Amino acid sequence: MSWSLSEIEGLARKAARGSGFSWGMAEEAGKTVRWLAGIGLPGPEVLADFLEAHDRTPHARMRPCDTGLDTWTAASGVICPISAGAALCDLAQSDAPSRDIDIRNCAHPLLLVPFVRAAAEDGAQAERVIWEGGEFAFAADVRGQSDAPMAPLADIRVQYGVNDALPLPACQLRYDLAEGPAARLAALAARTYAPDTEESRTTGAGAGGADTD
Amino acid sequence: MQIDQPAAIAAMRQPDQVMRLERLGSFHQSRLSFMRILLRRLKSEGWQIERALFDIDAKGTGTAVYTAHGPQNSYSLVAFANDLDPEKRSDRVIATEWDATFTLFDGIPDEADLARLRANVPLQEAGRISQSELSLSRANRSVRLWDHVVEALAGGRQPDVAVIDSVGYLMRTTAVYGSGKFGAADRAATSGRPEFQAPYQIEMLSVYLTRAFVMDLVEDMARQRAPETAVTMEPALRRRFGIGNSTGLGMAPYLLNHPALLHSWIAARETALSRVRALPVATPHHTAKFRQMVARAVLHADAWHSAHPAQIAKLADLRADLARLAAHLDQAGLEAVRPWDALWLWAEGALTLEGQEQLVLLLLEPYPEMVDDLAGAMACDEDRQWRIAGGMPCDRLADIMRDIYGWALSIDWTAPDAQARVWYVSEAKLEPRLGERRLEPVEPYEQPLSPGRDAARLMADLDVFTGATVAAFVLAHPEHRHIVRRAQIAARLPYAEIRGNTIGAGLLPIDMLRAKLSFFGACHFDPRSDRWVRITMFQNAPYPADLAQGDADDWTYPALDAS
Repeated sequence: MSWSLSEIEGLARKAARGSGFSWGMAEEAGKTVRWLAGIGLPGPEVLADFLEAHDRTPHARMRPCDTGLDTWTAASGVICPISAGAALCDLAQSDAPSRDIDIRNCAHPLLLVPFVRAAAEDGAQAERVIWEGGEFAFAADVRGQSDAPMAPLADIRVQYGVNDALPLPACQLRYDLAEGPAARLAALAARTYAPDTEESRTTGAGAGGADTD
Repeated sequence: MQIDQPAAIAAMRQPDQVMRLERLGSFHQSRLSFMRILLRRLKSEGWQIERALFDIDAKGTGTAVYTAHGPQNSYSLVAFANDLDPEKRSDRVIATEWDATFTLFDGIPDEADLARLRANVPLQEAGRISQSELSLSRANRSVRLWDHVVEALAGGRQPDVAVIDSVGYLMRTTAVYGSGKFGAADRAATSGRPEFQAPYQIEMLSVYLTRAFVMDLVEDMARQRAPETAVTMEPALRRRFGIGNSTGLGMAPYLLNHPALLHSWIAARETALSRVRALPVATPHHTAKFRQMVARAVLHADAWHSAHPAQIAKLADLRADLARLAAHLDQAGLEAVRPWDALWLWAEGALTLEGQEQLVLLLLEPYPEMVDDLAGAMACDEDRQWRIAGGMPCDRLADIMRDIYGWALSIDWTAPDAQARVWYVSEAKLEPRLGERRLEPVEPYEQPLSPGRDAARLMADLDVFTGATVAAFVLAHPEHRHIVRRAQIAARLPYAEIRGNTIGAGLLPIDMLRAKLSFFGACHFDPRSDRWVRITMFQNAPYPADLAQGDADDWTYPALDAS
């Protein structure tokens, strides 16, 4: 089915929240997945895989332990791409010209890619993100490709520079999301909804009086 | 007219004054309302609106298409009329059937498009629309007025003015969805078009065309009922019909979820007010126009009815304020230096919030040349404001928090009333609701719509944090990421944040609804409860056929000769 990108973003945000992310981090997940979908990459599908694989894992165990080091690791051994990506972005303004950063054992590396773009923008310098399943480079334009976008784990290198040999992905305003992954994300998103009760129905929205006048 | 920029900037109202809930709940429409921006454009660009299809049977079911042709693009309101079982008529989002359903189609639909839309649009949320559709909406009849009008016209008579004015609309919309909802095109798909640059122009165009359809429909129903005797509505009466709108809680979170956009709206209006206040003199032309608008505002307030106790009190305030304003104008005049500023400063001491906010719009009214250009500044690229400035020192963040959320830091959040409410989303049709924290098991589902409380929580952790930067703080405390983002946005964009407790026992969600609806251009706010409000839109506005002649922007308040 063809989804609008704002629907994709909303679904991803709610699914991430349902899986245990804080609201602020869930917003990051929503933006990331939207950006990927906007260049035709399977952001929603990868997010579904990632959230299911690490459902309700405490955030503290999967975030980068020390972002002051050039090699990032997480206490649990596997690093969360949303947390690592958000940390990259947060550092970009004060860290430019950036050092090269190695992110070890990054879960679902595709989800990290949009953060590197944002970091390049915030840091006002060209950045590349390279892993075994793909490479992207962000300068004046967006270049890159991934031949294994669904890969669940990789070591990632984020480094200064350009790579004009990479292709320019086409932008799109819609995303075709199959029922399967949509339903998996929706199941996680549904955890953010309060079960319906009669009391909630009658008072919660506060419709007053008759509607038939 | 030369704008005295330093004086204008000096006269800007501070966010601590403007962004209080009770003041937001006293906002009125203005020259910068989205309906008025739309009609000014339709007029100045000579848009042509045609009824391309009207195929409705005697039971009132069928399809109609109204197409608006602009300089570059055409848009079509596709309407599906329904013979609704009265038992099923509900304004709630949990309704499943309506008197009429609509979509705004991007272009001119062909037969295949209409067939696809007919299978989906009447289902509303349960259907699916596409990139070709820009909005999705529905409306229910005001049964009382509808029956009266059909009966009168069918019998060869004009409907009764008092009955018309007691309701003000034949149909009220109960939701108008835009921007990517239920498969519709995202705003990004159309925001580059000049006609949709200002906010909510798609939704306003959809409602404006809906009003034309509803007038045609009621006349057609009368004609089909009694072809021998039926008459059409007299032109003078037609304008009295607006489109109603019934809005519930769902709209309230919007203001909190779009802080940068909220700033753009408020900043445009506050800039306009400050420009007028900075004027060294007022010409006789402008003062005459202002005095006339005050008199028209009196008529408008007189015609504004509500049965809700809170609104009855506010209307009494408004009417008394207008009388006070009129008396003050007679006494003090407008000849002094910086007369508008003097009037404003007097009003701050003499009028209630209703009257003060009414005065804002009255001051803008005589000055289109100083105000209307600000419509171009009301849109916002929210993504540009969204990323966290991680390099900010924690001390600076603490300063920002104290500045923006000072009001919240002085609240005892352990007191039961301070956090009495919970915003949550119900499983049923994903409807936003407000629950009682102590009485209902909804806290685990709480939405992030309580910036004040969240700011206080952040400060408790920030006070004992030993790291240097915001980046380090949000890495250690991802639970505060959301409120850090908000605070940084509000530090750049001062009107971005509501400065009041949005989960307290005293919260009136209708204050938030009114703030948003006033920017749409709504009038006659009529709360049905503390979280549900009815309004009218486009009442007294010219119909499409009248746009070419006459003023397209001088309709929001009744004309003096109509009294």
